[in-house]
Amino acid sequence: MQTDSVHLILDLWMSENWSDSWVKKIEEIIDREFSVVKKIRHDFEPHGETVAYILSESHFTLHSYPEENYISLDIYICKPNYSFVNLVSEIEEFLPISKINNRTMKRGEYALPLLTRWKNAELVLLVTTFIVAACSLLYELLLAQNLSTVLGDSAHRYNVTIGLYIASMGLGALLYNKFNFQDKIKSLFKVEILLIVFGGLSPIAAIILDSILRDHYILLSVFLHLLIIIIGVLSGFELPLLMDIGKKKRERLATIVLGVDYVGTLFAAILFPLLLVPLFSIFGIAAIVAGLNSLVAISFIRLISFKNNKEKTLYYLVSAMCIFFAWYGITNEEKISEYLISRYFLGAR
Amino acid sequence: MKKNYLLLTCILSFCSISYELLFANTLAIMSGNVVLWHSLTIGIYIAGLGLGTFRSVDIIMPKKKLVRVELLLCLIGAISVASIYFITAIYETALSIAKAGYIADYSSYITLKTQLRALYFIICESLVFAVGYLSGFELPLIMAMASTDLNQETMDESNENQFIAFNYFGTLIGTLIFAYLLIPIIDALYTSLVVASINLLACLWLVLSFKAQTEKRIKVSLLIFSVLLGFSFFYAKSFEQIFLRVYYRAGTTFIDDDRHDFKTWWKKTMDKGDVVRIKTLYQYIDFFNVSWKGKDEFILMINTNFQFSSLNERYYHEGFVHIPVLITGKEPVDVLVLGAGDGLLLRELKKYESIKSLTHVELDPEMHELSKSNDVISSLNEGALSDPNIKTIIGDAFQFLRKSTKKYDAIFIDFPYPQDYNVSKLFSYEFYTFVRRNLTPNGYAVFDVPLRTKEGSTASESRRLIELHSTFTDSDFERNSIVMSTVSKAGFKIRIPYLVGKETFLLITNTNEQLNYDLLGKLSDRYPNLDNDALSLINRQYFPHVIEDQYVNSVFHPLLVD
Repeated sequence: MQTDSVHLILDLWMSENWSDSWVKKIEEIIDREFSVVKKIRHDFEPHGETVAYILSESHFTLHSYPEENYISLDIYICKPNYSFVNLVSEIEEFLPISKINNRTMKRGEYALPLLTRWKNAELVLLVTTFIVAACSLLYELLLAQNLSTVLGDSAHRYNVTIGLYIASMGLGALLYNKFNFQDKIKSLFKVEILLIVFGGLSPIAAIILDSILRDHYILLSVFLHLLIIIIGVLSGFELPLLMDIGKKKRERLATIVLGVDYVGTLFAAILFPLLLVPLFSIFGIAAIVAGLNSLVAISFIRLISFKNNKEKTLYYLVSAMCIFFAWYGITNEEKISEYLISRYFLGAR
Repeated sequence: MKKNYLLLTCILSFCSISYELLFANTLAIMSGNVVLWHSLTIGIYIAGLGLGTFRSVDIIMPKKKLVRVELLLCLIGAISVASIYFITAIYETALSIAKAGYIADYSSYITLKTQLRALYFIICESLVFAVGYLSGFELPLIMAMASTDLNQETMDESNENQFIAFNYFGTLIGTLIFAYLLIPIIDALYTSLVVASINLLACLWLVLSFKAQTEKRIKVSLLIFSVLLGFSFFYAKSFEQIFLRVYYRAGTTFIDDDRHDFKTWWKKTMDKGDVVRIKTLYQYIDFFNVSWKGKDEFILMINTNFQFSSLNERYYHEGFVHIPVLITGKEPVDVLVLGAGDGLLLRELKKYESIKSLTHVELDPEMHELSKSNDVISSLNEGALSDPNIKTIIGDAFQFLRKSTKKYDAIFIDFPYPQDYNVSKLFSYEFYTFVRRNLTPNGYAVFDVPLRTKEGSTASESRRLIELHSTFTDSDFERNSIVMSTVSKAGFKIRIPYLVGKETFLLITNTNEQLNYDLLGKLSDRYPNLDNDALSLINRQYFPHVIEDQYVNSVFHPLLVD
């Protein structure tokens, strides 16, 4: 039995003289919104009342203090995602409230600190989310750096890339619902592989495109911005996929996934300028990010249910290849960048 | 009704991303390094967004909360650029005072500088975090509002997606308008006020037409804030002027007067006329007068980095142009000048009648126009830029050299010091490779570059007039090695670094002809400011370095950033 609940505590002070219709109105709203099992009421002398409802959702209590123009109420609901917004706005609309004080509390397992409730399998999901989120921002920064190396004017490129990237991620999140992915874990794997290919090769693509389209500035910049959109849309798929995978395990896990996603983003934002850019060339950074992404992909294979062994082998093979190429890229960074620069950027003369 | 909500979503996300970009761009200009500030700012902003979204789940009175959030956001947005200016002015002044000898040795100066920088970073980025945090509330709150108001068409998943889409749409519009319209046309300070005004209008719209039951004190603060924001448009220029005067003059005037009396200090900082700021498509150009040891000095800065001072530029430019001619023993014929938008280098070159063609490539047309039309600068460069014999090309030096096939026998390169990756590109081995390809076999190129001699004259620190002696450190060795390895990688076999006054230059060539380093006694009317001391030093300076591949500065792996 799930213990996750929310508890609303509301203090209401009225601006007009006391009217008994107010408590009635609140009771009407409660009657309509929830399924009442049993009502208990006690009237005090000379005035004031206490009302208690047992709801199938939990309970509701109300105390009125007519001499103080004050009503106090409690609603306890056994649904972790229940929102009191509609209820409160209705109460606000019908009563002449002068002052309102509200608190919502989490109850049950929902109220425990997050750390005490992490389970092993969930930890894998969260670590994955962290790396995926970090990679996602790293791709974005890599693309901005890419654009500014080829087209110059880095401040301008960073401004444009950030907007385009966030918008493309939004587009990805929207398309996600249209596509209706059946096997979420499999889909995540495929998305990661595509990201590794496009993201890892993006600086190489940029330098080659630049050598071909050097005199066609508009065409070159269209291609380079297209690359941002592709990687942005692919990254946009990741978070909804991860949240759906999390939701399947436990409703509340989706929120934690979201939180971890933001922490991963912050981590990448610090890592990129302070460590990656000073230590590696743009090709090296791309290989490192692709490598991190490959590790995530391979760790996911265990969770996929395959139709046959052939398919399973294929998945392992693809991710092993990704890791190999990323490793090759990282260890031979200097050779590769030297070759690319002299062949494509400087051009033989 | 729903349309209104979508429009509101779009406008608010536009404002939020604009604030983020304002912070990132202003910080990058004030303290150099585009990549660092852009990456950190977007990361901290997104982290703030996440926490804000997280915390917005339990809110049950969305309209009230949203009005408050927007009010706060307007406030932070309106002061975003101004507060960075303010903090930077304090930071710079404190450092100048520390440099003036209140700190005994170099290492404790560096410690102080690091601590101040950390503080600077924390203050600025907490503002960014606050903007992100508050913006995180926006989308969930608007969606909660819409779900109560639009009862007839209940919020299903596709409706929710529409809101998310409009949020992203606003972000995209924000960045595009910001990058292509706001920043190139109006400067950062006014941009922050314009965006805050849009945000305030959205907030007022929210109060008036979305039936948000707002408390009196919120309404009053909205009113007060609207009035203040209106006024701030008129006072922005004077605020900027005070900031610029403090930023550029406070440190110098403090040291110039031994009494350190606050009143005279402030008066001297505010006197001496305006600090003129010109915003061009590429940079901020600031110039002003300052009094130094009883003399009036004219100083020009680009993106707050030192360019030249009227007191010592002659010495510097004479060393730049004439010493390479003396060493190679060849008066130039076909000359290419890259950068040097102030025209001072051209003034020195015009002293050679041997020159048959002189091509000048400058990125910023407004810099070029200013050096032609401004009285002080054009009298300093003796109208060199108006000379019809000079072929001026307005464009990017990197792209120009990459495409050019003409051969020159001398190339003079005068760029700002590599404060960020954009300029670092002009100190890369790819760039020097293009330089080599555009030189005749016996031709040479010379450029000013941050190098350090063993004696440890602090080239970059001394650029703000105040000298602080330091010992030669590991990072100096590394920097020398980067510069020398980079030109070596580009195929220059002869590399002659030299120091004139406080400025260091590097002469590079592959010539087969005899070079002459002994310049003692080679005085001339062409360079009246260079004395025997300066000339005789050339072959006695020692710049420790190694030539190694790991030190090569490349476009694709920038190493040389101050």
